[in-house]
Amino acid sequence: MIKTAQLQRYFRSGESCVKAVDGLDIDIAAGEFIAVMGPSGSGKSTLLYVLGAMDRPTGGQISINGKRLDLMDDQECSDFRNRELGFVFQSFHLLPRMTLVRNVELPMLYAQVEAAKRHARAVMMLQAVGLGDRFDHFPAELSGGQCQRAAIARALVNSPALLLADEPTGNLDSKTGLEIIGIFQALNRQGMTIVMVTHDENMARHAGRIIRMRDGLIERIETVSKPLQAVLPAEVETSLREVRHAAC
Amino acid sequence: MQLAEQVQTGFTGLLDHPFRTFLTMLGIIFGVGAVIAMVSIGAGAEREALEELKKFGDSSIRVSSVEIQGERLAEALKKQARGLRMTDVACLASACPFIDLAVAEKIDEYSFYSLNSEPLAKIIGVGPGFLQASRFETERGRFFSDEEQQSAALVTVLGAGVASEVFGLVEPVGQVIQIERIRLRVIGVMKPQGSGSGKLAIKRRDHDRDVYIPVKTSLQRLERWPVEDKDLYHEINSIWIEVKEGYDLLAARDRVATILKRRHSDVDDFEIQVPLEILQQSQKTQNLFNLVMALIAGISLLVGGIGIMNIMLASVNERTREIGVRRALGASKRDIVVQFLVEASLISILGGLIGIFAGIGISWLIALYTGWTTAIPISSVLIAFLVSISVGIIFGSFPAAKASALDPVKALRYE
Repeated sequence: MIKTAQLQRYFRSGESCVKAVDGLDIDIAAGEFIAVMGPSGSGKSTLLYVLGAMDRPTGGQISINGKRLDLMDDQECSDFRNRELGFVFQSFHLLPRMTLVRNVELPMLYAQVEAAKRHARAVMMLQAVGLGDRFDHFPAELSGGQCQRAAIARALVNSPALLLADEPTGNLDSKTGLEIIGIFQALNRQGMTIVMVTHDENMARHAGRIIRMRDGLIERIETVSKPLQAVLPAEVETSLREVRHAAC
Repeated sequence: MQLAEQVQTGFTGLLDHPFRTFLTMLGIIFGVGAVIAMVSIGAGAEREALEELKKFGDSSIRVSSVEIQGERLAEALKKQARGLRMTDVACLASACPFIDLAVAEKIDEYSFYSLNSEPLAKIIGVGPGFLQASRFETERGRFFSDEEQQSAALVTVLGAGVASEVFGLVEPVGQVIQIERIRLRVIGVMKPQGSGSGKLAIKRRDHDRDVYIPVKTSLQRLERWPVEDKDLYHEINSIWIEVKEGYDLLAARDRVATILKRRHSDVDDFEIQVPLEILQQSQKTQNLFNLVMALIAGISLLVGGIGIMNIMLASVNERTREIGVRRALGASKRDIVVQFLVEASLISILGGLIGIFAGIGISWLIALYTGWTTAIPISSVLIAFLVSISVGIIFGSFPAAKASALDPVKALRYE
């Protein structure tokens, strides 16, 4: 699914050069749930943005689903982000002046989905993450957990094969954070590949593998023998499966 | 992303700050409003001037007597000058091959008596060819025949206003009016002419209050009581000249001036006006006025455009993170450019539309309170609208380009 070879992302500032990602070789299979951990400045977020075609590598190769991201131009990267990736951020990044449903519709807007279909799918997706009664609310009217669930709904609307999450539980209390991890695990059980950057060891233990980074390099890769299981109401998992199947 | 969606998104963006949006629009509103209003005044004046010219004709020359008195009069008399006379008319007609018609006009002010009233009107003695030279028409009856002109017949043709004032519902043709001691039979009534607006700077009286009689009747039969020499100096008041087609009007004017000057012993006792020349001069003035207005409107639109750019730059700054989010969700650079261009264009289009209505309103108010004729050419509305759209696109381009050039990751992390 994801393959990198000597992946580099260097930042030059005058004479100095910061090696945020320094020659990484990563191989992630489809359907894996990967946690990326490391101290601040270790390059984990940079790696995530390079994987997400938001940032361009300065060296090496990267391919996702057989597509070479390092060879894509800006338009191709935009299309790739729109159709094959879902992003979930620490601070949700919902647009504050749009209702939840309009926020969730955004990726479909750039995918040229027609208005009625777009709206119906956004509502369905919000229902799947338990926000069916909140679709006409603004983000400021919701709790952090609800916002993150809406952000997950937004990330899933174009049925991506890969979900990238940057500290998705960082702004949430542990109970709500576990709810979000529960959704991720459910999605992963349904075949979705997930790469999650986190500081939280406990959250990382819910993944199948943990990539530990330091100074732009992979320190070690651990396989979690018995990933922790977050509890997720059965109906949420069912509706997530249904809505993803409906999209496919 | 489709344009309709972009427009909807743009509206949403603008409605987030309605007051700021309105203030930004003001520059465009004032610019477009000023253009429409000023052009309407210019176009109104031009239309009126053209209508005036139509009345005078584009091949006519007017020679008018100029009153002289005191020492100048004494000097003129010493030089044997005798003012504007019937002999001038005859001389011009025979000496100038380019003259199609030369018509004498003698104007007197009399109280005249009809059967039941006594209005004051101008008695106009006119020579043969007057109807053709003036482009006036009779509404009822007829104008003077050559025979009536030659024999100084006691007949009259009334202006429409005088006719209705004196006779009301009674048919004027066939009636008799009395001026001093002479009685004149009404043989016709003119079509209403309306008074001139003076836009061509040519003296035009209210022709509807004219009472026409043959010029010989005026000169030979009307009693006059001259008080001073100046009252006797000019025999007639003006000469209407029609120049044949194909002749240069200005050259004709110069020739007429030369002949009259020689006949009047170099005394400046007449003036010559060419309506077409006056129209051309007024058009030159109008063009200058239009140029100044275009400059003012251009500066106003430039200021409006800078206002749009300023606000759009602020908006890009304010929405940096939103740009990052949109890029993360799949928006291309082009999508971001279009988004901000649409917003800038919406401001200028809405401002332009409001400006057009404001301009039409101002033009209407000007016409209402000053009595000036205003006209709004559709071309000025279209140009103003297109310019306002262009202002939005031109001044929105830089902020839009700046927005699209943002690094998506930096934009996402922008605080």
